[in-house]
Amino acid sequence: MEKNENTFTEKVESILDELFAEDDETAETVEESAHVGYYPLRFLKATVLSIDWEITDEVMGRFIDQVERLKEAHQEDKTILPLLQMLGSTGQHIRIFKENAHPTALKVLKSLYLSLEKVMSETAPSEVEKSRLLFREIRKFKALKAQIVEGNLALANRVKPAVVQAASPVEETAPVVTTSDDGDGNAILAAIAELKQFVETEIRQLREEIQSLRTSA
Amino acid sequence: MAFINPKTKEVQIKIVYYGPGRGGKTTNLEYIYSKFNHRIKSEMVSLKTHGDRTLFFDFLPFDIGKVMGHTLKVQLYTVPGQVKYNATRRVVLRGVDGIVFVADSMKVVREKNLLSLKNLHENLKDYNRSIFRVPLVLQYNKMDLAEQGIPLLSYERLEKDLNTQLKVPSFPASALRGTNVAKTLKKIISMTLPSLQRNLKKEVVN
Ligand SMILES: Nc1nc2c(ncn2[C@@H]2O[C@H](COP(=O)(O)OP(=O)(O)OP(=O)(O)O)[C@@H](O)[C@H]2O)c(=O)[nH]1
Ligand SMILES: [Mg+2]
Repeated sequence: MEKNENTFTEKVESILDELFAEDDETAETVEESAHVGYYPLRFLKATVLSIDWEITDEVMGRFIDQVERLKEAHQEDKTILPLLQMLGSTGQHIRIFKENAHPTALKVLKSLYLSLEKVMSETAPSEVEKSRLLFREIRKFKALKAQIVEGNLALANRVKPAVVQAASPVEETAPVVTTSDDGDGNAILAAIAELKQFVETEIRQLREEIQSLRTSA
Repeated sequence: MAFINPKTKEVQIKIVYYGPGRGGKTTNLEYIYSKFNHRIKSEMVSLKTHGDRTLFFDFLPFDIGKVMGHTLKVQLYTVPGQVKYNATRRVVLRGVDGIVFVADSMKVVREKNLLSLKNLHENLKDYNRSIFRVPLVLQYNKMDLAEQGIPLLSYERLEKDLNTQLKVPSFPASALRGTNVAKTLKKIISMTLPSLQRNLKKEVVN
């Protein structure tokens, strides 16, 4: 019997080794690949990476502080400064509206950051490429701004006061569905309720976006 | 715990990737899928929001072959990490055989790891299961960010924060690059085997 037990585990483990065998390239250890160098954007990058749907005042406050600090350092730069300015105001919008910020705002923020990273990298692009990059970001930023303004207008026409509506975090105030686990039924119902809530929020945001596109057309 | 179907002679092992939002759970499965799909021949199911957050769960099933006259099937799930989706996490946890807790190594999200581990503890308790007895592996993810000078929690710090009481196997990892992703998976499957074997034996005896 003992022997049997060992062969069972051994057999499964050897199958696993075969299934998930890796070439040396990926087997490299983290320690080996890690090396820390000076990197002027590292704090900003860490903050950008931690901005997600659980956006807090703390994270956004830190983000804006870091943008301000970088602005100080790059007052003279014709590409970096406008990128930072746009990052700052997109960050402000997200800070105020949190989960209800315009869905595109996070994308614009990330895109702005990536462009900033490119422009500030050691192998900086040519001047022509830089201005092309900046131009592209400005266009995205302006489109976002227009969408936000129109979205607010559309909202204001339907429900007032607009500010209260926009600032009330739909998903946060949603009733927290608690389940005492007296069977699969309740737990699954609660999960479906979460899903439903999400879909409703999503649809409402889509409607608002369509509405704002209509009014701008 | 593993689900044994005596008719079809199939055994299902359910592994759940748990952890804070944006920690890298989905990325683990995506790596496994992209890297090993030619061998495991499977499909991955994901339901995401426009922000790439897991909405319901990700699901990646595959067979590992025949052992003791049974076909062994593994199912990998991820839960949505966002705080508000707790009911979904609870459903996914039902009948779990092994858990990979994917922690985020970034300093700025230290607190989130702790909260998520606590949440796992509580959700397991509701199923009358103890976090100290469920097969569990910790994965400290995003270690690659150190290269860019991003402030990370050290391995020791993470161990102190998360593993002081649990004392389970833990791996520093980069799900994005695949570092230690397969190792984590192999470890957690291995850890579910002893209990599976006991149940299989009962099955054979009956
Ligand atoms: N640098 C780096 N980024 C990572 C790593 N793992 C995940 N990411 C990134 O982190 C973000 C979130 O990863 P996901 O895998 O979606 O996280 P998750 O845990 O599934 O998040 P939820 O579904 O919201 O719970 C993505 O942008 C990933 O590319 C990693 O090891 N290193
Ligand atoms: Mg996910």
